[in-house]
Formats: sequence, C-alpha cells, structure tokens
Amino acid sequence: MLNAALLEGIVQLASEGIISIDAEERIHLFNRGAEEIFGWSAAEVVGKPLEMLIPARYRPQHHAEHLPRFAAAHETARRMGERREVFGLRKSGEEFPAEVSISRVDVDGRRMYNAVVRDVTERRRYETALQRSNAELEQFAYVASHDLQEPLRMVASYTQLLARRYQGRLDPQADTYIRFAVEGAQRMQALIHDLLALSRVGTQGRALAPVDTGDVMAGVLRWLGPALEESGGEVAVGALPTVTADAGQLQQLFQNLVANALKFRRPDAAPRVEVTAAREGAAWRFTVRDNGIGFEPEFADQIFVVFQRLHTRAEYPGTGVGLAICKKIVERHGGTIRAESAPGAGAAFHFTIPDPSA
Amino acid sequence: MKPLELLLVEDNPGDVELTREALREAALPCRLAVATDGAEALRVLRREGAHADAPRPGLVLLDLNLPKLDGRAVLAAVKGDPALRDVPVVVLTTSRAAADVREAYALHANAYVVKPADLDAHFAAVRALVEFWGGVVVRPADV
Repeated sequence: MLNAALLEGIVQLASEGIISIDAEERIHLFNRGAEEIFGWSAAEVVGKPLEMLIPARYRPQHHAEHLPRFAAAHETARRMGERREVFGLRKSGEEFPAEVSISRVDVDGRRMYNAVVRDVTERRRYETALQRSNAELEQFAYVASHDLQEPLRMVASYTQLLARRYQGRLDPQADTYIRFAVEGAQRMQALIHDLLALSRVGTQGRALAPVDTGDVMAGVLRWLGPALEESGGEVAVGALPTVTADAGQLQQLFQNLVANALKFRRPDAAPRVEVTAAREGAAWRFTVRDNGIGFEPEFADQIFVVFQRLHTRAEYPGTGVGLAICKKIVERHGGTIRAESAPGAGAAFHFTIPDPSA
Repeated sequence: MKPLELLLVEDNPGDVELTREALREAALPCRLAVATDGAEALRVLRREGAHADAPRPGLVLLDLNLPKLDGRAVLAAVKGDPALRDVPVVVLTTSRAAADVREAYALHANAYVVKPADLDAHFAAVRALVEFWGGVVVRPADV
C-alpha cells in the first residue's frame, strides 16, 4: 500500500488538474495543477459544487448524462473529450477545451469520483492551424499542378514532335539532347500526375461507409491482372473484413501496395504476395507481404515520404509518390502504416483501419 | 469521301499547330479553319462579317478555356440555336474535372475529349475524331 504522504506528493506534482468529488458532486480535493488550470485556489473550491468548474451551458447536459451514466456504468474509469469536446470554466469566466479522465472509487464505504483534467487549448489551436495549413497546401498543390500541366504539355508535345521529325537527321549529340528533353518532360508529367493524386486524397475523398475489403481486393486483382500475368506472380488473399472506409481510396491503397510488391520482385523468383487481416485492439490490421528484394530496415520510415526513392529510375521506374499516397489514405481513415523488411527477405506493409464496433 | 470541314476553336497557337500536324500525318480528307476565341467561333458559325463564305463545319473542336466567350458559352449558344444545334461539337480540353465533363454533356456536347499529354496519343485522338465524324457517321448535311 502506498504511503499517503507519497501519494499526496504525486498528486500535487502533476501538471494535470486532479479533482476528487463525492456522490453529491462536492469538491474534496483540488491539486496544484487544477489551481493553475482553473485559477481557483483549493481553499476557494473545496466543499463547493463541481458545477462551478463547468460552463453554465454544459451544466444541464452534465447533470443529465455524464455523471449519472458513469455512476451506473460497469467500467470504473473512462476518458471524456476524446470523441466529444468537453469544456471547463476558469475563475475568470473563460471557457477552455479539456480532456477529462474520470474514475470511480469507494473510500470507506463512500462513493467518490476522481477526475484528471488536461487543458487542451494549445493543442486545439495547433490542430486547427495545422488543418488549415494542410488544406491550403492541398489546394495549392491541386491548382499548381493543374496550371503546370498546360505549358508542360506543350514542352512534352513539341520535344516529342522534334524527336519524331528530326531524330537521326541531326548529329548523334542532338539526338541525345532531344531524348533527355523528351524524358524530362515525360517524367515531370508523371510527377504532376502523382502529386495531383496525392492532393486529391485530402480534397476529394468520399464519406466513409461500410466496405467489404474482400470485394476491394477482387477489384485490385482484376486491375493488376496484366501485371500479374507478365510477372508470373500470385496473390494469396486471406479472409478480409468489412470496414468503414472510402472504397475508392481503399482500393488505391491496396493497389499501390500490391503493385509495389510485384514491382520490387527478385529477378530470380516469381512474386508471391499475401494479403491478410487480423484484429488489433479497436482496429483491423491489414498486412501485404511479399517475397521481393526488400530494403534496409533503416529506410522503413523514409519510404513513406513523398519523392523518396531507394532505387534509381533505371532499376525501378516510379515517382516516389505511391507510398506517400498510401500513408495519407491510411491517416485519413485514422489508422497508421508501417513497413518491415530486410534486404532480400521480402517486405511487409502493415496498416490499420479503426473499427471500434467489433 | 467529301472533305470534313473542321472548325478548331483554340487560343493556344501551340495547340493549333499540333492539330495541324496531326491532320497532316493522318492524311485524311479535311479542311481546317481556326477561331482563336469564342466570339469569333460564333461569327464563323453564323457566317457573319468576313466569314460570310465560311463553309458549315462538319465538326467543331472546342476548347473550354477561351478568351472573350469561353467554350461553355459557345456550346450553350450553338446548342440553343435551332439553326446550329445539329453541328457536332466535340469538347477538346486539358480539363479532366468531373464538373467540366458533366456540364459539357448537360449543354449537349456531342463528345468530350481530354487532350492527351502524350504526342502519339494526341495524334491518334485527332485522327480518330476526323475518321469518325468525317467518315463513319451520317449527318443531316449528308442526306
């Protein structure tokens, strides 16, 4: 059993606000963190009703829902404010967004509640600013790539026309110059095309709805049919669940991962790809595993960064945008993606799609 | 086969030249007239002013983003004019935006073609358009 003085020390040290109330919602304990957040001193609030810390407009909701529901719940600890905004009220009358964890304990036969309060004003401000700057960046990328395509199409078309009409009629050096110009323009077109696709993940996503990932994979396999045939590859698909997702983006995600698995194959072995799913907490974890060339584990994060490539274009073509798109799609769904590999040992890409229901 | 009278509505000289080259390579019977903005396109179609002797086009290739009167307005004017609405109008643009495609068809465009980024594909598209509208289909003017 922990010493009471030790516990008191920990409670006072915490930067979070720690508040204990009884079943009548009278404040019993109010630590230093709470004093800083709310602006009241412990002496001013102990013995007073909790609702003085709750903005007036949330009090009816608090009385009707939060505490009674928690009092009746089976669980003895819960976190509020992760899914729904919770607000606190400072002494100054200012409201602030908060995250609150509450627990229920019985002390000497008396029902008590402990609340840990975190002031998330700063975090919310960052989140809002970040969302805005991301949205602006996406908009910029979209507009820029559209407007860049037009002059680029001229450069690409006329260098190609030059090649068509004058290849072999100038000197060999001129032919080389023309070839570089044609390839450069084509490469830039591919980059802009992929950048547009990347910006569309954020700007043109559809609402999330139940999607059978088995159906999605069937679509991916049809789309990859020619590539599979050409490489002699095989894709084994395990039992896949229904998740809440943007079906089009989910297809693009699987498509990119499986296409990568086929592309980065070993020269001496036909590609074998496995697509599986398993529960992982409140999410489904999907795995796309291959027997390809793999990569050094130290690059496992870098490969998700846009334009980052581990090979020359002569070895493996590509713009370095595909996995960045995958990451963005997964994050839009609230999941995470990671890769594991070793040279020659194949690669495995794991991503999660949250599914609290199951 | 009677030569197809083609009216290209396009403000970018580079694109006009590409279409000319594509037609030259295709070596199909057709005659090309060019209007560099939407207002001029309507004057040609209505044979106004200097265009009194302009032939009635068998096909209009219409860019969407044009000075003065943009392609959507030209399309609306042509398809809203009982004397012109049977002239086939194919939108030829770089835009792949869903809103542009839907709007063009809603305004009764006969087809919507995205200018291919690749030269060979671009030439093939122009060739296919001239072959189709100049040879495969029958238009009111042919009967």
